[in-house]
Amino acid sequence: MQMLIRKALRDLWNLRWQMGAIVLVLACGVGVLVMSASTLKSLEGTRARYYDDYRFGDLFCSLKRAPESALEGIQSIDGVALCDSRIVTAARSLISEEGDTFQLQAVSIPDQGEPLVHRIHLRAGRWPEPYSESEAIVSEAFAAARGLRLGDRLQVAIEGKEWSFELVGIGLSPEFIYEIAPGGLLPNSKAFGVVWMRRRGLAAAAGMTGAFNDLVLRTAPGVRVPWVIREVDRQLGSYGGLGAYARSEQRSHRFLTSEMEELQGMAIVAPSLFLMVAALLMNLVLTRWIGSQREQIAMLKAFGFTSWEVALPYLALALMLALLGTLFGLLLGVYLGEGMTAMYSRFFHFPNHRFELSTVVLLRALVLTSLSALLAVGAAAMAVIRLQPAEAMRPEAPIPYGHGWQDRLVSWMRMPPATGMMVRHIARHPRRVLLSILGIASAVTVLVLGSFMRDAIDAMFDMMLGDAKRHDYQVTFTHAVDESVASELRAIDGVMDVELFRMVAARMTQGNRQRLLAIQGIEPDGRMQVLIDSKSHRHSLPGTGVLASRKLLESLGTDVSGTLHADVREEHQPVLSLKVGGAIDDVSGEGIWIDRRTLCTLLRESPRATGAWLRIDANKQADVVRQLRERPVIVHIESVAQQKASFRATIAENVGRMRWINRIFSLIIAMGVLASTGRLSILERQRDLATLRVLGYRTGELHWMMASELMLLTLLAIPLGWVLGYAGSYATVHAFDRELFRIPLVVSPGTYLQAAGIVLAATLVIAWSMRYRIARLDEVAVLKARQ
Amino acid sequence: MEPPVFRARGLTKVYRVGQVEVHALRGVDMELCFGEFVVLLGPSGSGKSTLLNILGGLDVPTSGTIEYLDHDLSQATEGQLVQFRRDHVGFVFQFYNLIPSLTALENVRLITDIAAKPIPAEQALAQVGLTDRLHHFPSQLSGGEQQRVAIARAIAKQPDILLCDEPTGALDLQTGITVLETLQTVNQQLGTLTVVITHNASIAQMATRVISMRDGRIVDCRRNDQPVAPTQLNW
Repeated sequence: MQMLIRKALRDLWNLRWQMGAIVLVLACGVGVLVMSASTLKSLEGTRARYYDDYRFGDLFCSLKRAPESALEGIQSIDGVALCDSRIVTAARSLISEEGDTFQLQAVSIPDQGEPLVHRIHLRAGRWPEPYSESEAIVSEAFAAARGLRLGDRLQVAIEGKEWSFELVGIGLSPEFIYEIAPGGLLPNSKAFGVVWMRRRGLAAAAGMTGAFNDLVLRTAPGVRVPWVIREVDRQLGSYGGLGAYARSEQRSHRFLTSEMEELQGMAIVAPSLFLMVAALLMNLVLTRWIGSQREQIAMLKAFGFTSWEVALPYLALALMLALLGTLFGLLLGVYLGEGMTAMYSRFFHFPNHRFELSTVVLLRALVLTSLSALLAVGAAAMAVIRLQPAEAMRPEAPIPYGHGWQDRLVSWMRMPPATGMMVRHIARHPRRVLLSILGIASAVTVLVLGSFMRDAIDAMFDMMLGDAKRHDYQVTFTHAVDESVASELRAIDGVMDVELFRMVAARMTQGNRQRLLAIQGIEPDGRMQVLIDSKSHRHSLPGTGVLASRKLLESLGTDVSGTLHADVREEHQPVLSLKVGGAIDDVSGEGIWIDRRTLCTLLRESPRATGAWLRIDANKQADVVRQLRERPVIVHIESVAQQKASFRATIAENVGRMRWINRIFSLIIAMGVLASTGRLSILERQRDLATLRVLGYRTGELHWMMASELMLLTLLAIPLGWVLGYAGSYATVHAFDRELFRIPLVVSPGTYLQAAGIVLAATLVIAWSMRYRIARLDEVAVLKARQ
Repeated sequence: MEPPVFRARGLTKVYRVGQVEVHALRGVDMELCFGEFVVLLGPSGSGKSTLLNILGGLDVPTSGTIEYLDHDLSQATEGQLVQFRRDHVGFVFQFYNLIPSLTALENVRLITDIAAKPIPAEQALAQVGLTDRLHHFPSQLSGGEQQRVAIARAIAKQPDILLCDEPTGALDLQTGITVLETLQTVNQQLGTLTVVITHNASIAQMATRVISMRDGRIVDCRRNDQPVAPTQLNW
């Protein structure tokens, strides 16, 4: 057996380029798998530790105002382990050197010491002095985006009153891992941040002395959270409680979870594809290789080796490839995973991060690669091993050329003999050709898949921010105000158009399913914020009932004819029955839209608005913004241009990196498949080529013949790759189906062309390199060898 | 007279090559004994190779029986045939069938590794006069040297039967003689039943028995009581 193993190893060395390609492709598959799974594991671990160490709440509740004494009742609820009352209010910028605005969420911390729940990780600086009214900590992302330093002073308006504080600390909180302004979809750290202040100062500013308007709880292990929620709601109902909710509905937690689900999707689609290609490639190379060893196998059997003994080195070789692929994949995956984990940790502002290798995934990768290796080699090995030695000793029966469509095609088109050889060769080896085409097509597929994400995000960008948002600014009011505010806003010089909206937070329930979201009351003939679905079709509000995103209806287990129950989380907490009048495949995930006035009627109020969209004369922008800031009723001003810039910046790094990884990997696949195909074609046909050269063909002519065969395979593979790429994109969209926003299935012509272009370029490179091999053919030696 | 090693009765073999059905053997009866040097003569397609394959347990007859001592090879399972080849048969092929990725020594060791009573690979190679070529790969050896490695590989297991299919077919005269001398030495010194297929009728002069075949049948079988040395053959 030792000699057989030595033989297998030497054969392996002879096939080192092909085997190298297989190992590389396997490594890519395992690499993406290890990267995604380990990044996911690391992020989950990091988040879990962060939540534990900094006591992230299990239950959250906002309310209008409750006396501090109300806290005792909450603390006595069975199962409540820790409880903190807080004051949470909005603070908006007064002066900004850059002329733009920002909004801060001001959160109180105890007058002395640290909060019990939602502890703050101080990245720099110190805690504000006890009872200090002029010192504060701001969130790291905000400080970084704004270039704030310790000792800087910020001037804000809280509840219409000016407030100035000194920045003494820069901090992080598990509550704001994903720092998004209320109503926002993505973080915009320049426009939104968090400021923590000692309670006395904030209470004075917000008119909340002796009272609180926000509650965070940690429950004891094993407690039934819904029961605690009911109890909290019961106790705080009379204080204007807006309904307690669990961690699963906490904004930052939801976004983070959604982001992790995306990673999980990535851990399935891409590696499966790479492993499939590797299996294909192995099958392609090993089948041909084993086929070429018929006589050696026959000799071994003639001398008394059993079939199993003959087969074992081939199987061992396949397993060795799998092992090598897994090993390199592991190294690649750890390298990329560490980078990804660091990138995500920066993005989410985790206090620290630790890369954790997912051993389960590593084992899974090993099993997957081994299985694909054995599958690839198994059938080929068995076929030759089943051969009777006497049969294998005879040269393979000549392929019966002369009776197929390809032969008629060759005669009908009067192809020159060399071209005829190529066509016949392709047609007579359908399985091999199909495998080669599939291999090349998969490179196109990976490229389409890699770039599709960019297309989809561009499309989502266009839909959410481009096509949909036809205004320049969005202003949010401190509370629901009379719709006469529209004429006041219109009166500002430079405001060209105003459109009001009324948003209300509600818990949508259907049976035991529920979702917390904002019902959006908009104008039925809205011009400034239009409803666009994932296919770019414009929707309008239905004649009766609400328009709901299809995703929400699916989540709640209802359909277009159903009725939704909305538990409104505002002062009087009415419960509304909303008939669904239409559905929309919205990119932003889950939403409900209704006629603003109808909503107000349902809420039993006069026509009101909680915000407005404005179109502004570009020349008067600064002036308008200044005037808007002076109005105490306006709590937040957000520029659409800034939102767009922030969106692009956020996505650019994440998507950009993945795109490059995909490009490199698909290039490896394309080169691997093409090089193997080209090399094997020459090996198999070296006798034909030698004969042709002896007959007077030039190297260039032979090269053209072989290269055009490869080119033909690529041309056949490209459309297939496009189709598979589209199918893969479809699968990805569904694997990534997120609650918060939905990725549209958009693949641009540019993506298809780019994928085809890269694979064609790879084909040209490989085709060119074939010339060297053909020139090196020793025709005398080849012709002397037995066929 | 030695008892027969092989006893064949009514052997036929039909197989397909592509779309053609070939009747390779059409009823062969024969007996072969230890120590014999048998030359099988006949034109292409006469059934020599098929007969050799069946004798060597590489193939089974379509009908008829073939017995090796008290073993019925025509009824043997695949496993029994493998064991038979492993224990008793050495092959020498026209095109050597060496493993190109193994050196001469390693090609022989490939077989000594699995044989029951092998001689050292170096000794086998010394017997064929290749002591100084042990570590050469097949591509670094001449045709004659390659064939001698193939013979060394065949005799290294000390087989009871040595089956050679056109062992000199691909060799020049002088090299052919060297190879035949090696075969004759093995036959005479070890008493190995040696069966050689050839187109070359002059090789028959060194045989103890000459069997001629045509169209899948034995047409002549004669004894040669005075075999000559390969150097004395008239080519």
